[in-house]
Amino acid sequence: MSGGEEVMAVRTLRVDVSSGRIQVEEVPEEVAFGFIGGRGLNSWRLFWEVGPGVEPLSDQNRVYFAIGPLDGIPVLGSRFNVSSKSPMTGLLGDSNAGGHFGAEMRFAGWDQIVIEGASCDPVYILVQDEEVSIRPARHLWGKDTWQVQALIREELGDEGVQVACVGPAAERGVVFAGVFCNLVRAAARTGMGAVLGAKKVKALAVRGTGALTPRHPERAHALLEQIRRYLINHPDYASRRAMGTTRLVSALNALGILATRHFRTGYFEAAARVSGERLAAEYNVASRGCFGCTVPCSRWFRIRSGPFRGLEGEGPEFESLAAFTARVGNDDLDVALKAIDLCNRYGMDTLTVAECISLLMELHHEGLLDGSVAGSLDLGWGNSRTILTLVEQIGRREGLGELFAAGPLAAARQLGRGAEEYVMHVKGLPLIQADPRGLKGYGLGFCVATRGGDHLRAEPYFELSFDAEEARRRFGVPQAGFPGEYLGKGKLVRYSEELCAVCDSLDVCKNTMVCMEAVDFQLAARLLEAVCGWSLDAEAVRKVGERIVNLERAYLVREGVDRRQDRLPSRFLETPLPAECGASAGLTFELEEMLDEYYRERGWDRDRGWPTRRKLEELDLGDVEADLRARGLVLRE
Amino acid sequence: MRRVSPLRRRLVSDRAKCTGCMNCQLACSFAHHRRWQLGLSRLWVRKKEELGWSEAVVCRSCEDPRCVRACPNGSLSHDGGGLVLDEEGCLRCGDCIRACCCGALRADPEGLPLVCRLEPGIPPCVAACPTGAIWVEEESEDGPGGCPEARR
Repeated sequence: MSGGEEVMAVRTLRVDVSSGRIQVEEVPEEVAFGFIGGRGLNSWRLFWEVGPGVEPLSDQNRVYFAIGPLDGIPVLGSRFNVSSKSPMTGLLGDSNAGGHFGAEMRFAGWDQIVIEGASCDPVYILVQDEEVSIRPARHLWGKDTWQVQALIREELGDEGVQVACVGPAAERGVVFAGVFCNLVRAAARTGMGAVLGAKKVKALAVRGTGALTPRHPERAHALLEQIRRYLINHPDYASRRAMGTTRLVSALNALGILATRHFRTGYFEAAARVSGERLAAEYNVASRGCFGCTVPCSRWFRIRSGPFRGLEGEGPEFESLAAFTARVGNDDLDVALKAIDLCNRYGMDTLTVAECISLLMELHHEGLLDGSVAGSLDLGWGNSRTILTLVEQIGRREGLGELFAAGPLAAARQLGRGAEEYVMHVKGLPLIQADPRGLKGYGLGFCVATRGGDHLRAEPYFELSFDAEEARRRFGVPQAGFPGEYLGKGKLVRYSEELCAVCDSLDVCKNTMVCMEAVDFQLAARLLEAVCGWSLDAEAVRKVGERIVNLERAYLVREGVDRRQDRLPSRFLETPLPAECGASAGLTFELEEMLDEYYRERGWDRDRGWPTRRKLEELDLGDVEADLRARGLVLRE
Repeated sequence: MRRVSPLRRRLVSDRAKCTGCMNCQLACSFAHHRRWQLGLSRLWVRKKEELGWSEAVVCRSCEDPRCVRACPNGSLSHDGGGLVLDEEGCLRCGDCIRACCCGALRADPEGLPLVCRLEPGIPPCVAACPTGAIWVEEESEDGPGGCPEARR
């Protein structure tokens, strides 16, 4: 890895809210080239700074905000990553969000902001270009995410300040609390907000007035113009513009893989009533976009009649929408929008909240719930009052919210009677809204994702291409291009994970870069060269992706993870999708076959799913191998 | 002394179409300075996040513009094609900015007004907008041009 030309320093700002100490560090050049930025840079620091034995909600844990070298450019959409040790999983926590916060960090001149220690009193951190201060936030404590953002802007008299904040749920130690900016842009998964809440940090507010000066302006401009044209001519463009990710409600339902009634089926009979199409036709009033985006896919909605008339806001995205409709068996779109709005304002991960609710409903359905648990709540599928009551209770940590504060897995353990088997999670992180039985590449992605049961580590969108020829060409077997097939998915997931790791580290949008395939390793390398003057070739960029995946896997290995935790709940392995699921009916998940293929593709050992010593050395991660060895974790050759 | 160009061109923006993506500001600053810096663009995006709207605030290329009239020493002028700033002569007093009827005119970090000249062809901000929320309107001589304030 060599930089070639002189490059701009990558800078980390450290803010210790215990002592008030503020420090600036330059990221070593080999780390910048080796991990790019964003998620990669965060994971690198997390590995070396937050090891085993650190309690996620203690002052020993740290929260890392990072952006990548492409934050602040036009065309692709800027994002930022928040990473920490997760209080949901006890493992690597990481989540990213769009909006305008990432670009603001770029213009303020910071690639990474680390929050350390814990404050006695509520504070927020204000970064205005080079000026950094820790400010009192007693007046913000208890305020919801929308209020905090507005109050900080008002207090500073600056509409342009970007605020990443936590809501009341984080303050109360609800472990699946997220970090929110631009009202509803959420780094919601893995409980990053809860870690900030434990540190009594209500928000990180950033204002930047600086510039991003491309190293080779004409080249950068030409590349971005090429990508812009590609995107606006993409066959998905119009539908993404109109519906964003909510278009997936109908699409997944048609395939029989829309997680419904807590994954009891993949077909929701009322999908048309809660679809992206219906939202676009009856609720959407305006189109919204993240910073720099060419495919602004977010929408402002307004409820025009009924009990929630007048409710408006941005979104929702597919996962939240499907979670509060199909997953909980609710066919009332207005109730779903209200529930999502409440989750956003309390500052919680919608998927996890919906998992808590749908878990309770299924336990009730199965007769596994002690009658006293529900109290006066009707736990029948889709009960509107129950859904909204539970969201409020969870957000306030009252009533049943106390049971769920440590997450659905902990709640199920407390409930006993075999409830644990019903929690739809991997490594403590609840699954998304797609049924892995009929979407096997994604399912494999859930199993091996380095942050637990989630799709955004791999996003193997190609398996929905139904293109046998292309699948054979790229992944060796035609099955790789079909969601219900398992062959070739190890190879597909390996490739996709590396592309996603690069995407999260450049910190641009996965919809454009990965799903719409706007940027591959080659183009990423050319962008890095044109914008930053980094001379990495396509293979070097791919290798960064592989390095990040392996480093994160090593983090999990160090925390005790092996093949046994790379598994889906047994429902997916044992119970076929029911007849109503059309093309996906009768499918189960071929876990062992897919893991074998995946580990082989990764060059990891088959029994434990650990990286080999050779693999880590090949990726310049010899120091990581040595760290594991020093702890008695001996990798195979 | 009113100067009327035979075919007036001016930027127009539509709040209903704006998504707040900032591509227009990025394109403008890049076109003029070869870098991306929001504070260097000749238009800017006003936002009301809690209300779900944003709009590009653009120079409307007024006839007999107030900004020119406000300039105390003639550094800001109109040459028929568009605004021209004499950077050497500019006092950086901000009178032009205060006078701008559209709220579009801003100062760069050094205090110089960021003047939109609206060169011929498709301006970078228009080309960069993914939703067609900004466009160039061309008016004939007898059109309703001019400073919207002055027309009242």
